[in-house]
Amino acid sequence: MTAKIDWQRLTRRSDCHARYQSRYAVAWYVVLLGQLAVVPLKAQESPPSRTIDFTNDVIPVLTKMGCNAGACHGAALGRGGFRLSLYGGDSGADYDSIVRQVGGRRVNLVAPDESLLLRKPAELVEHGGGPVLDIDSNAAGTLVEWLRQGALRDPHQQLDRFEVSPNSLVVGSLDDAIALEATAYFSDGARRDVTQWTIFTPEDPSAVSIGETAPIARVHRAGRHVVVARYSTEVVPIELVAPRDASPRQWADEPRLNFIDVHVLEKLRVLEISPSPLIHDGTYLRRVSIDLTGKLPSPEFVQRFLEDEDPDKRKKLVELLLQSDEFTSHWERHLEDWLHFREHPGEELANKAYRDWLTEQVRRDASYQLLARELIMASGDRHVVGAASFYDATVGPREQAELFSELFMGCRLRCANCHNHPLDRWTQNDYHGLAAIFAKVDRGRVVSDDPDGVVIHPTTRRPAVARIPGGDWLDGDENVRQRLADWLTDRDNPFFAKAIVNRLWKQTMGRGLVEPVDDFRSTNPATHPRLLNRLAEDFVDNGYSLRHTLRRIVLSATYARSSDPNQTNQDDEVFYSHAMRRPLLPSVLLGAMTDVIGVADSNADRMMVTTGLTHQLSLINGPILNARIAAKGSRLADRLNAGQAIAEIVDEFYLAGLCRHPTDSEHDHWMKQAAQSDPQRFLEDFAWGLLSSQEFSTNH
Amino acid sequence: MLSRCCDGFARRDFVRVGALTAFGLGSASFGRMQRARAQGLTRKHPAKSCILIWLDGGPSHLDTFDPKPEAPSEVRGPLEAIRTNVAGIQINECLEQTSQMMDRLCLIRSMTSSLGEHNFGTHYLMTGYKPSPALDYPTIGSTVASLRQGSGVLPPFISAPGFDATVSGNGFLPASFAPFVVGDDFRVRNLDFYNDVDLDRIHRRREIVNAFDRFSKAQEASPTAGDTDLARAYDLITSPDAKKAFDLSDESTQTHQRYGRNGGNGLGQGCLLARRLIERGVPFVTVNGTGWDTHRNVIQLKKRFPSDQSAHLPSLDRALSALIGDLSDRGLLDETLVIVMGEFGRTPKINPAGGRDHWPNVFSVLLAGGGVRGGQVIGTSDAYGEFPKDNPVTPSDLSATVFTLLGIDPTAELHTGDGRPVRIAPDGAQVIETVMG
Amino acid sequence: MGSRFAVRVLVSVAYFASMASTAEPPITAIDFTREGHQLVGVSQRGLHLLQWPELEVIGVVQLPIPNLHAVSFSPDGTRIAVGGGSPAEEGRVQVVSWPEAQPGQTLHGHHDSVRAVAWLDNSDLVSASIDQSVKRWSLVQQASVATLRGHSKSVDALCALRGTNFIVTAGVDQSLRVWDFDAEEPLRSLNQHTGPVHALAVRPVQEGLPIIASASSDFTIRFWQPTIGRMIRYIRLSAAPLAITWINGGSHLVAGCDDGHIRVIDYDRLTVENDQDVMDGWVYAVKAHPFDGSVAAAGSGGTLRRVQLKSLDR
Repeated sequence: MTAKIDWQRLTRRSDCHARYQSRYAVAWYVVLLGQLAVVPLKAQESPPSRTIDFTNDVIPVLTKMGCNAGACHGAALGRGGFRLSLYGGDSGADYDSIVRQVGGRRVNLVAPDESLLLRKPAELVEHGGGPVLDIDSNAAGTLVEWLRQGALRDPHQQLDRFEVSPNSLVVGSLDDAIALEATAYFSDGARRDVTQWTIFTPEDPSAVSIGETAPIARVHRAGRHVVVARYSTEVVPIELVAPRDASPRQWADEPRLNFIDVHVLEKLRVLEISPSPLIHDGTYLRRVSIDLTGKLPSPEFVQRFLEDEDPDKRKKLVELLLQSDEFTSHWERHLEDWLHFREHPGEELANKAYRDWLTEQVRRDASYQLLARELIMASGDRHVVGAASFYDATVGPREQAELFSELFMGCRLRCANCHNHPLDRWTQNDYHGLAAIFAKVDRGRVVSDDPDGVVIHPTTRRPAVARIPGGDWLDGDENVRQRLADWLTDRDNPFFAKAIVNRLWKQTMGRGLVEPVDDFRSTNPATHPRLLNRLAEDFVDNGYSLRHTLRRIVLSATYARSSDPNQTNQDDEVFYSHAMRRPLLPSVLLGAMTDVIGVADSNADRMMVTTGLTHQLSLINGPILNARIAAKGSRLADRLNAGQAIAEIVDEFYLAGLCRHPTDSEHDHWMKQAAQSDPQRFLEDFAWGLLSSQEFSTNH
Repeated sequence: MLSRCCDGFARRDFVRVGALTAFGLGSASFGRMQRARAQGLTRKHPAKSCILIWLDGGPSHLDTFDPKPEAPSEVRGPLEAIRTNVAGIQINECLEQTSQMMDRLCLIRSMTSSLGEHNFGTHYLMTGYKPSPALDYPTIGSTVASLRQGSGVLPPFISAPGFDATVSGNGFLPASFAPFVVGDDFRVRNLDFYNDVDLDRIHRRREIVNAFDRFSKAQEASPTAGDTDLARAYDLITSPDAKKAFDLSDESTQTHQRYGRNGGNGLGQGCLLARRLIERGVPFVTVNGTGWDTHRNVIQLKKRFPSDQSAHLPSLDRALSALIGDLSDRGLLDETLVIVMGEFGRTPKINPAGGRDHWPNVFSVLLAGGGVRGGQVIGTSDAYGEFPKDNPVTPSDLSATVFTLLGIDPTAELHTGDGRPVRIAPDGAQVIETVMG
Repeated sequence: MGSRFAVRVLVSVAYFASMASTAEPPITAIDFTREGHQLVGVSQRGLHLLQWPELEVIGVVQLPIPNLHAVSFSPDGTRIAVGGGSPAEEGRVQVVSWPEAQPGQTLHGHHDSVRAVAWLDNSDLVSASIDQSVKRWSLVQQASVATLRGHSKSVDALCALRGTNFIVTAGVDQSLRVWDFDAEEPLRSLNQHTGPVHALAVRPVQEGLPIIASASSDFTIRFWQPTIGRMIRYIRLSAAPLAITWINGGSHLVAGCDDGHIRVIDYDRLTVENDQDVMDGWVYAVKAHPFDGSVAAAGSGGTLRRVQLKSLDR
């Protein structure tokens, strides 16, 4: 039986819901379109004549409304069954979510105004996120127009560039209104003011406020502040600098020993922050010895240095320290730390091979470029090939990719594991592509290439394709590690040199130019971008030598500033107007105590340098100082046995612990104290007090 | 498990920051904090102290205080629900003793946060603020410590035992308001004098250190931090009564057993110590329980064999019920606020490993004592415990409520080292009035 | 080992071929008349009626339901059940008589759109909804006679095991549930999928325990014996399958995927025998013709295609 349809009967029944159209396709189609003409939403701006683009128009609207934020549909699991990529990072997936999922129910192409995409955010139907869309707004207008145009995703127009104005500004006075503007430049030459679709977020809302209705920024506190501007997938920082009201100063008189001082002083001048004065020889000796070698100099050395009248004695000192064994072991430990080296019990041979290899690299001042290459390319038995233990620091290729990116690139690619990095350029393809490179390494005791190793990309659910971060896709047949090493250590690599010089800077200056040191990104700009560039160039031009850059830093006037703040710089923590007081690393503190006391702790490991009160209790009542201060063979016991005068012993402890002589008033104070009690008991208490003091336990 | 997070710090960063500030040399300037004046206390008889039982890792709301017995099995999970002594309120089957004191407990079942990563979630719950790159916020305990002197010589904020600190504690407040950490064995080391070092010598040593710090101007740079720790250390070791607070052997075997002696990550002994400290006027004590990050085998929260002492839920049940009962017996419950919480809840659907993953969208917090009206549930989650159904409560709201219960105006301001005013609870945080009796 | 059914795909006739654009709403479900001379499909425009194999449009029945997701002929071919609803507001099943194409009963009761319908016999049918429930309807009683609750998310697919009292449902909560109509709780829950399940299809083989296939966003198609709760095997594809239909007496399964391809899967060998790009966008529906060996595929942009599958062996 063939179905027969009674057309006449059906079309006569006008009260019926069902209605038949013409039998003939083309004619029918035209009629249908005519009948479904859409009733427009009321009171809405005149529709723009141009084609609304999904990626460049619709997603920014959703971002501006907050739909794709992490707290809403941008959450990894979405919300209410509707998932968007975080801040619109994946417009293809978002298009599928909006237009195609759930049988396409979120858009109504026959009656665009009825689309769930509008009805939900306007809360015409219940919406977990409440009403976020004003139906009369430009945002609603853009969405409606896009739906009417057929909800297309026609990537004819690529976003080339996103700029904000101003992007850096020294503000005249606090609370001035600063109008922010944002412009998008597209591949087809189009240029649009996208200020209204840009989100401006101050990093510190108490320092900078953004108007609720208009993008007007106001700075409320002196200092340097960052506002992050987000449009579509782009994020750029805006730097707003508000100087302090400071008295005029002779900037020209400040010493500029090398380019570091030029850059740092320039910033201080703009900010009107006066630097603290330069430090004396003793303080310099102590500071630089601790930073370069992790050790205090002996009292005899201090004495000689203080008396030395050679104008180049600091330079000579630095050379001496740089060439010392202590330098080697101290910086080897830093490398261990950066490489996440862990001692594995039962792996003594591998531990030793790795440590020996690292030590040798530091000792002979190996090029950091070659060091990185060797680590990446390492193959062989970890019991023999030290560098191969680079692949033993983590548990898998993804973690290896994270370690690699954080150390060698100064970037947190790990954010891009589950979603494209919300504040940076990194995508899931970058993350899993880098992990795919490390998946090709067999990480057993014998490290070797494993051509079959894969990691699964969470979006495609297939093996991720190896890829240079932000760059080329790699063919599976290539030596992918080699390609990665070539890219990383290329002279023009934008990350490699900056990441390491920033770490060297932090170790010596107390704070990275980019902080945290593993979070380089455009939205976390360096405090001194040009200085960072210059340091990196200087490092590359000088054979990627760690010693070279450390020498540069510690011979600058900036390094040699006092840690005592003045009126204008006491709140400065980032511009190096004064040195930062830094607690000694636990191992350094322990060693320094031992050096001053003169006898080693029989069980050095038992001293846990803990925090606050616990630490104080351990100093007061624990064995760490009490058991050793006057023990046999200690400095104190020896000097007392030799019958030295109290004043001489006090002086020696000052030199040993603080690298200076006591001042006259200090001398008088201690002599008066000593006179009031048993000399030995006094000296024990004096030594104890010195080792518990702030001056001793910090580098300043 | 070391958990890396997305847009911020890894755990080790926090530890480092914490270590820095502990020496009084942290990022914010030192010690120029000004105390906020709590303007117009909102409560007549505020709680004097607070015990926070922190379930680290994020306890499953579905397997503790918000069971869904009607839900499909993969949501309901392997554990059952039981009735409590308040009609209509059910909790997990393992919380048997707790269920019999529901009339003294208040559950918030509509807690909601957006931070499903351990460090961030912990920061949010413990400070009331979402983590920010611009400012390190103090935990509720540190804020309380900075505003309450406490009585006697014990530190005003004690953490028992310490845990893998994911927040630095004192934040921008001086390091002296960081928690004093008691060891895993609930003992404080080095409270007794060393050999021939007597009180006189300790006094002199203290004066010598002060002299050094004065000479080196270290005191100007850090007038409170090191000195306060030192002063507190001196006070502590010279006070027999204060030292006794930490001596758990003082308690009867019966009491030890009531709280739970073994296993279960030490919650019982921690709670017992907390009670002793509260009794001696310590304003804020954190008891830390670990092991709630149950990505696998939720069923192991339950007792697995008759003598199993380490299962987490029975251990929580013993510790919590003993603490509430003991505080009540001693007449301390009305003036002691007890909070039980973790950094988030867990996924409603059991995963293939039989566990539940991180779920900040909705979770539960328990409050008791300190002016809290018991026997009530505030807010509900939806049918499968996925999102709040009504009365959503953010960690900011919770912090404002806790401060209010403790008689601290949440809208008052603290000041950072460089003089910036920061509200005690974030702007917009709503006090949940219905919590209060 | 099944017969080797190496497939040659002939993509023929396409509905809207000349005007295909993404501005046209997708066709989300299709079914054939019993005799196979007509094809019905649903979209936001309504119920489309087309001649087969020409795909010549007969007409479109507009229904007072904005979103349509499901369409199914009754076993005797005299009625069409159309499922859909107003998003986030209500869901319903509209019964349309055949061949008159006359709207009949409307079955109200779901709180959100109906995503799948299946007939149990000529007067009883079941519907699955985004509201997480499954309802059984009696056209005789003109009412819902049972509501099955247990899924924790939208229920997107269902199939009845003919000759038993069982139905199987599946959806966004990633589980398959097997129900006996007499029981309130599901008999069993099959939890191997790691993504939402979009489609179910009963293998048309009489002997042995019933076998069904399930297609999921986890890129897999899994095969089950639902009455004993056993997963027999699975195959992983390179795109997410959205719709499935058995062909050739159950020796092969055709899957419509979210990359615009259809894939022909050999059940015994668990291999993809053919992979054919048939449209831009997503293939929401595939349906094997009752006799002629071809398959209809429908999807984004209102596209409808007839795909001829030919065995090289025969």
